[in-house]
Amino acid sequence: MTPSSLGALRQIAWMSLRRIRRGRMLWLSVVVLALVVGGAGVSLITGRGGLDFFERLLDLMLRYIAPLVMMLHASSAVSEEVQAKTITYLFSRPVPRWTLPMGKFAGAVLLGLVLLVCATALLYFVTMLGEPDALMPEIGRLGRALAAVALAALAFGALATAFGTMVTGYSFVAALFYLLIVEVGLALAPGWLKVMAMTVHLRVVAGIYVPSTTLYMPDPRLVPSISLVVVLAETLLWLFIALTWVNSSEYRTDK
Amino acid sequence: MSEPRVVADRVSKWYGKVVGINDFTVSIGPGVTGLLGPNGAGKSTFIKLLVGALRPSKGELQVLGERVWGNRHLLGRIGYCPEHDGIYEDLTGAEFVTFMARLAGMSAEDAARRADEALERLGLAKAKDRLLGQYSKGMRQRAKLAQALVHDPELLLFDEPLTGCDPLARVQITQFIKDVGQAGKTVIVSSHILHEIESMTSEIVLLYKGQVLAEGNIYRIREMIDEHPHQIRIECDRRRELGQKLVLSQDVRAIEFPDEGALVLETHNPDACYPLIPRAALESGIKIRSLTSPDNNLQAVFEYLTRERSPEGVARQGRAA
Amino acid sequence: MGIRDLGYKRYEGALLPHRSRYRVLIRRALSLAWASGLTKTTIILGMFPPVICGVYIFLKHQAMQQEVVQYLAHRAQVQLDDPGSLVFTCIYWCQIWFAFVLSLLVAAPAISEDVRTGAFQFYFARPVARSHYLVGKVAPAAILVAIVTLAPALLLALLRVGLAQSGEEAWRSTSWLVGTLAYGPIYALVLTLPAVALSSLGRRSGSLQGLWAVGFFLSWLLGEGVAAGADLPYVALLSIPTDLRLVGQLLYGIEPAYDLPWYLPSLVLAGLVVGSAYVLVRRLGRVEVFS
Repeated sequence: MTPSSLGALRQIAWMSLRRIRRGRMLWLSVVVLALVVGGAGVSLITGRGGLDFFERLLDLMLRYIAPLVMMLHASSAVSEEVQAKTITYLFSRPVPRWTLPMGKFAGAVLLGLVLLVCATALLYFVTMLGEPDALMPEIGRLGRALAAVALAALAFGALATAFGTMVTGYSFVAALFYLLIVEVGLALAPGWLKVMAMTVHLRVVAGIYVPSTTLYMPDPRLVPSISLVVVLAETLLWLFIALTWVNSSEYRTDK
Repeated sequence: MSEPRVVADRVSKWYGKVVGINDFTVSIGPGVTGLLGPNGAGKSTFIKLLVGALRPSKGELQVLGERVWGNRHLLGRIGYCPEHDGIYEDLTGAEFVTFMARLAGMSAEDAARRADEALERLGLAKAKDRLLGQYSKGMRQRAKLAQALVHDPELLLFDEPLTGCDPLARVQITQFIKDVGQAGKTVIVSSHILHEIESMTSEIVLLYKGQVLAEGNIYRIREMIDEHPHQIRIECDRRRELGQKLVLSQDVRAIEFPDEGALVLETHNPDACYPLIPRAALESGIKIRSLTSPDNNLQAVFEYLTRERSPEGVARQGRAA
Repeated sequence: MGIRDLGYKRYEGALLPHRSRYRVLIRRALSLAWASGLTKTTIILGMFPPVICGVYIFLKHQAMQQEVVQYLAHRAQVQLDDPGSLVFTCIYWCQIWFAFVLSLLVAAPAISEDVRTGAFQFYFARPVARSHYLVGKVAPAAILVAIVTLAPALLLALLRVGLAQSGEEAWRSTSWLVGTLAYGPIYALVLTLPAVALSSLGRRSGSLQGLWAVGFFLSWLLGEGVAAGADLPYVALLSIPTDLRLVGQLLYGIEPAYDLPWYLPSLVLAGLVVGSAYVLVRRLGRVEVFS
């Protein structure tokens, strides 16, 4: 009697979601996103709003909020199981090892997608109360924003899962390190260096990327379709790293 | 003779410079087998190799006729209860065992039903809907046992199953393990507490410092330790008189009088001595109160074998040579 | 009597005074922290920006001594900043990242790891007071944060003093030194005490690290975001890094980023530190309950 890989993946994803629902991280994410939307509401009261303001907040979402939320849920993919020693039970079952990180990834991404997409939609409607005439005509921008945020959930979920698989100690800190140095640091770098940062491509997809010139180095002009492919490719790369790592590691629980 | 369920051929496992087990060659058949040894002997390492959690550094390991590492299909025939107390504290007992059953390939209905049965069998029926984080140590141990057998595996691996259990739980779990062994499963139980293993089985594999010292039936192993004569303790009145009679036999190596009302006889041939004792007592009209063999047990076997392997024992052998 | 018969001998040697517990616990925590590769990497990487700033301070000072540079600046009506202002830029804008990562690695799991492993029964079955334990947890994190903030900033400030061409210039430059001596400890305390307090609230280090990271970054993003977006500068006080920045600008005599009463950021940080200390003392008072 051996479960199918898809069945095992579904079981692990379902259990992961159930445990997230019972934990505090879900409420933390909800509070984080509620504060962002609340902040937009406060700004509205003081006369700020409209599409420009929405795009600035979307920029914040893509650069910082989405990565943080996904890291909160996905960076403990395998590390949490190793630290709690519950990985013993999972790896003594007739399930492929790769279903563990993939199941955790699926659970985290599902949750992240719902939270981030809802928050982005709410953000749009709240900020556009400052420019109500443009709400429906600019609805296409919301579509792009939602697509970018969904991509961000996928991409940063994969990144966090990979770190959670490779670094069983401080996986969150390691992922944060990467985020600060690569995603935040390189995104601010002049010229073509910034194409290494996923946040830049996500901003291209969202339609809020504005190339400029810094230190006499012009920023590259990027196309949404290519940026989409780059983000998806990087997502698959991180997932590949996670799956390969988990298949070949022993994960000792007696340390 | 049944096919061996576990065959290890010169298996070694090391963690960097630290040797977990070294040149393990052992063959384990059906029924309950005790894996016995002090802390650091390699018991948990061997069990983790059997369940595929670790990869052997050297040698061949076959479980139920197949290689283990990377063979996930084999894991459906194995049930493992780990030594550590890590558990999903935010799941209920029923959820945990059902989840494990689902991961073993059962359908949702079967998994739920089998989980309930397993929990009931281990006395957790009333607590199954409580979070595992609220369970006592003994209850957690039973929940771990439940998840190990919910999918009806052929081979059960229990790593220190009585750790942290109260006396009542120990009795129940010991009986449970014996029942499972009698039902035809292959059960390997590891422990460093000798009387625990003795109460479950007489088939043992004795480990010490990563190596196999002995394997097989406790009593046969005892008989094979030639350099240590058997001791038979006789509690009786007129012990000196009985001693005088017994010492005449060529099978009696030595007689001691350790305390009032008892004598201890040393022999290399206990089978010949045992009939001798009541005959001598009958001829002299001596009343025997008790007849025991203080060293015909696991403790003695273990001490004899490990003493020779200790630094003092090695030095003693060197001097003798 | 029974124990002595087995060869047990009562300890007859000297016992160190109680205050030695501080040293023992701090040293132990520091060696544990240093054993982590991530901590070592953070500290080593954290030395690069001060070196770069030091070189820049030197070059800028040398350039500013050139009469032609002074002439051009005067003609262009450009104010030449004292290169010592880079001390603040370094300690705040460059080093805050490394200091934050260290607080995540060392301070955020400081107590939660002990809760998870049940270490309290070992600590408090010895003559170790709660104060020993508390200092033993906060001090190592603060020391490591100070290594990447206070130490490099002090060296940069001393460099600035050392570059002075005259006694009067040297005396003027000591303001950077004084500012650093005052700012460094505040910086270390603000980045470590709240994290340790948070650490005492649970047993899952990963979750608490996440909580601290979110609290730190989110307050920064929202505080500065809403302050700038809604033109409400008082909202910026919600941000821990912004409060640190404003206090630093006050101590270094730099124009503040927000037009707020000078005492408000200090009050916020003081409240944060006092509140954290209160939480820690209360939690440690109940350690036999929650461990």
